[in-house]
Amino acid sequence: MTQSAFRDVLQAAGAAQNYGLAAGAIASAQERAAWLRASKANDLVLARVCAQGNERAWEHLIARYHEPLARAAIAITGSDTLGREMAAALYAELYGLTERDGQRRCPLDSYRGRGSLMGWLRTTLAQRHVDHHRRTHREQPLEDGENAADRMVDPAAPEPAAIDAPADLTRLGEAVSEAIAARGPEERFLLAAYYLDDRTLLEVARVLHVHEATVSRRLKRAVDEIRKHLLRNLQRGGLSRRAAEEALGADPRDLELNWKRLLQIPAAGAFPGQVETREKTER
Amino acid sequence: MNSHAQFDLHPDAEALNGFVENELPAAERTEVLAHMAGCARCREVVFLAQKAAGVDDGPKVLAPAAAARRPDRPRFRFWMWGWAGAAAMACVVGIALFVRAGHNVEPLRIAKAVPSEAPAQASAFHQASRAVAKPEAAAGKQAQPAGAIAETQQSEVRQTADESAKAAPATVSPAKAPPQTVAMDSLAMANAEAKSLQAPAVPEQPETRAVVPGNRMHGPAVSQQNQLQNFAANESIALPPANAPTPAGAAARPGSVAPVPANSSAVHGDVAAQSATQTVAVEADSAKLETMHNTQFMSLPGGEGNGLALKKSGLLMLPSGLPLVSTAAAGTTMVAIDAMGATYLSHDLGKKWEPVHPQWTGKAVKVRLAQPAGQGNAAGLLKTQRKDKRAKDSAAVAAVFEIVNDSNAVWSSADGKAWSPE
Repeated sequence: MTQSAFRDVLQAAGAAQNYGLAAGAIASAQERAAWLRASKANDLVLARVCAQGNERAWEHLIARYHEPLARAAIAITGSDTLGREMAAALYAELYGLTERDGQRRCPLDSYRGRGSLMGWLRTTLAQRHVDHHRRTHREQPLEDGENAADRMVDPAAPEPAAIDAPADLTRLGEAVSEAIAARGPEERFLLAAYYLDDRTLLEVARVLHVHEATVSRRLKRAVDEIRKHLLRNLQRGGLSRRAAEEALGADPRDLELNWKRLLQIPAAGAFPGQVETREKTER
Repeated sequence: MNSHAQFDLHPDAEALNGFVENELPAAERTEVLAHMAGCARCREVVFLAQKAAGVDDGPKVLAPAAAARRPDRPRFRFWMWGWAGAAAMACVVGIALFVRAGHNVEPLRIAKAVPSEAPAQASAFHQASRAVAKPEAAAGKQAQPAGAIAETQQSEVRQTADESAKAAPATVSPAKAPPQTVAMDSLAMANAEAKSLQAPAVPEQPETRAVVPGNRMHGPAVSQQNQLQNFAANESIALPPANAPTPAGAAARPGSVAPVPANSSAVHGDVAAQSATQTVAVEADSAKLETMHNTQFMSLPGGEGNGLALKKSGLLMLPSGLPLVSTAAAGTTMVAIDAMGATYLSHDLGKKWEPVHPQWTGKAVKVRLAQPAGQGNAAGLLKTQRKDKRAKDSAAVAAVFEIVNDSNAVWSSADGKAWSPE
């Protein structure tokens, strides 16, 4: 690959992303240089050239990432056969065998060089695996939300007291919604990953790039804050402190709450390069 | 409860990978986090990608970790240095204890041996006494036969010492015996008629040897030893030299003085009494002094020589400052003659002296005890004295001092003050 071809690929990629700036903004030379320094230029050029159908680039891509990609697929699927099968399917998809509107569509075009190409490939594999799992295991959701929700409301709560009055349940549901909505994105992610997905502290810590103790401390603080917030909200709604504490012992299954929506702030904006991936399971 | 709601829009692989690799800006990261808080699918993708990255980067992660353990070697080395230091400390402590123990051996041995040897010495002496009492059994083996002369010559003393050395070695351990001195106050009190007493003391130190006339002393004990030798010259007492040869050395030189066994605690007393020769058990009472001055061996004439007095004479000078040449004691009363013939009397075993006005002619050269008639034999009396202190006192009262002048004339006195010629 010539130097001029390399430069052209980089300029095209930068222009496509507007050098990381908002749409309509004109990037200065410094901003362009900063974007180029922050991006993985080699991986980006390789991905672009592969997307253009360069055979030598494909050979280089396969020679470089074949084995790592197979290992990643095996680790994701937990099976050697499924992993290699999924890796081979990804190669076919990356090569652009699928067409949309008569156009050869290569997923490598979506790679923008912010992370490593190998990481991007792993994430793509994980997305394919999760989507495939959701398609084929409709009756077995990945998360056991109900059981996790039991612990998330109040793990240290005493024996749940029977609350027969729907008004109390409604009041409790509103208080929970307010308490969770008041938490920050990271705390909500911690609560969801730990209590809904049953992730371990180590797994969460690795994703967040912090120590396990930090995750544990943040979780405890989040639960304590939510409990206080719940008690406050319940007492503000007219319950005594004792009644509020008893209300915290209610069975979470009795609460008609959409924990997903509670945990995700609806105002979350569009992601850069966000892809509309309407879940087929929703249909 | 509906916990299965999904969202239509998800972060693409680029954003999720950027989140996993921590490459996203803070704002975009927060957006991804906010989305993932309610999106199980994206959380699953992120955790799976992180898991795959951990597997794929495993060797790369482990390799730096293994390399990072290399700096642990200094820790290991430090650990080894710690052990080396501990071993060195143990060696130092061990050497210190060894050296200290080596310094403590001698005092401890002396301190312990002194009281413990007295009974053994007494028992050994009793054996010797019994042997002498039965001449037919002890002839040629034990001390002098019954007819031994009271005024024992030095050669006889040496011979006796030699014999006792031959008789005793099998029953003694050379290392433990403290130097012993024959304490003869009890003998003096008991046996006024005793003429000589042979008391091979127990040398402990290797340098202790039997008396060789004309031997030379070194060190602080020279003057005292000279006094003792002067006393011995007058009283036929064999004194130990300062640097006595070891038994082995003596055996290698046949002509040399027979060494006394290192711990020969048996005391042979050949007592020539007026009526019969007697063997008297003599009890050591002054090991401490002997330990201090290396006076290991001495043989004193029977009643006249008082071990305690002799000891006192070695330590305490007479008021004249002259060497003591003769002494005799009865109970706490002691009479002593110095080199000039001056006579002194003490009622407290030599602590305080008072001069005795000469009531005799010539120069007093010797003082001794004379037992009144009917007093009985000395050994029996000594045994009686040991059992009954009052008998001892009565014997002391009954004792009579005798002074011999240079012309062999004898004066006697019951109290040491008033003397009358015999």
